[in-house]
Amino acid sequence: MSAAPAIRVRDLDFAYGRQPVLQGVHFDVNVLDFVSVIGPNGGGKSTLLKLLLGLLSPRRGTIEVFGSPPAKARLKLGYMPQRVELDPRFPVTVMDVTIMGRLGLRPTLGPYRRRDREAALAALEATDAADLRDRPFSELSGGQRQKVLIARALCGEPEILLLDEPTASLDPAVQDDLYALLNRLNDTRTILMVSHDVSMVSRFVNRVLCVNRTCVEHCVTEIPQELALLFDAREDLRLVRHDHDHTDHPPAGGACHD
Amino acid sequence: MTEFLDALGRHAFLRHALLAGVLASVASGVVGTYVVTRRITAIAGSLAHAVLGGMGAAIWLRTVHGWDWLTPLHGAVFAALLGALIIGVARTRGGDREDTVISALWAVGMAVGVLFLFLTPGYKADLMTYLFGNIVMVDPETLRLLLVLDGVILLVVALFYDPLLAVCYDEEFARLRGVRTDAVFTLLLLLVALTIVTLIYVVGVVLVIALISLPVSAVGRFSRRLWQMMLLAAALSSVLTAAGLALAYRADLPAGAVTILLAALVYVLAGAAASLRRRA
Repeated sequence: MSAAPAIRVRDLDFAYGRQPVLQGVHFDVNVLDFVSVIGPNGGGKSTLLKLLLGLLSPRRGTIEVFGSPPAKARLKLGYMPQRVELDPRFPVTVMDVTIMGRLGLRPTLGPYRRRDREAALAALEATDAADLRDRPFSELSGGQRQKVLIARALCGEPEILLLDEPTASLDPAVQDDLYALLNRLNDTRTILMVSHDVSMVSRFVNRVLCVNRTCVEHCVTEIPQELALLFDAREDLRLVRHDHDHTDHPPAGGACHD
Repeated sequence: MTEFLDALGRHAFLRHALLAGVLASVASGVVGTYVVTRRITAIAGSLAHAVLGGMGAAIWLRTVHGWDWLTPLHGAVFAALLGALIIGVARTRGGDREDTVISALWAVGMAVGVLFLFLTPGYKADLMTYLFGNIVMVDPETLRLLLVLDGVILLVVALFYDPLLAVCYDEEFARLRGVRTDAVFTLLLLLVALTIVTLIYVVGVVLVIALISLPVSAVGRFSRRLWQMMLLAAALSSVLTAAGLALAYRADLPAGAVTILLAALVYVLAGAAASLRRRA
């Protein structure tokens, strides 16, 4: 059973109306992978995430999450949206936001139970945000908000974390902090993360998918010594070979092409 | 003030009016909080105006066809719930633009109401009452209906507080957690519909939207959590309707209009206070 992929995508096509967005997308994500999805804006990264969540339906091809259609496997997924989509003036505390992750694990009627509050607190502790629990969500800094949204995704006890640009618009120190957190979480959970950063991904990521109409996997290799010196020997640098052509239709397929 | 308290002791209609104001304020403070935070005041405005159609039809059936058991408020309940379902379905099916449906419901409801009132002999004068409210027309039977509506609204909010909060704050996330968000949102619209009915006698269909949104917005700057906003808004709204009634009684003015202007004044003052506090 452990050999079965967490996510399996086969021959996936998607279009908004007549505008093709994704074509021939084909890849697997294995259990405990840490995958970074990169690509230009409008290349289909967020669309791919919404397809994996079952919020959109493929025009052709199949998506399986632990062998089930995405809409049936939703409770195994922990989703962190881009925070720009949330109303900053909504009167909620950090705890109010985090505990929403428990919604699928309780009856619709009635209030959250003590079990739910404990799970939410544990998730906040896991993301180093427990001391923020009574603060209004709107008063948090960018990095603090990201941690809370990750905690919200975590407290639903997901097997896969799907994160949409978790480090967007954060300063580098906070980004490093967040990557270290995700690396810890990766010990027990598969992570698929959309990243705005095309040129550089964290050393914790073990696979990189480049999405631009179609999807190509890049190999992640250790950075050569000489290059590391040029980059001031930042130890979190790794080399991603990015040698396919974005302007034309790149070769399809999930294999490394180096 | 003492003069008004004196009058309260002497006149049952004033006591009924005061009580109606408080009952309407409880509903509008609680449900108005969802309306304001979820930003659906346009839907609330549409439902409020559509209610006139139901009231007109009820009056026509009662007067012309002798359906004596049917009161205008029953018609209002029916029209508001029907309107909420229409908007809920339009939103779920996504067949047409949502705001077109909202505007159409707004106008069609009023047109139906005006036609039925026109066809009903001797009822033309009542149009003003329904448009702008007449809180002193509240009778014990109306109070009983308001009490039932408040009970239903509070019970539903108590049972569905968490999913309602989640759907208002982040509908997509709630759906991903297995919440039937379309059903929860339609439930919210039904709550808005019932709340509007409680406000009809207090301020009338045209002014309802102000009493749903202004007290909530005024206290919103001072609330950290949704339930705090509900409590504060219900309290402020009760004070406003009572003060509006007292002022209107003293100066012999329409209570609904006075109440709305008071609410607007408090809203502006709250905004000024909040911006002063930010600068300090």
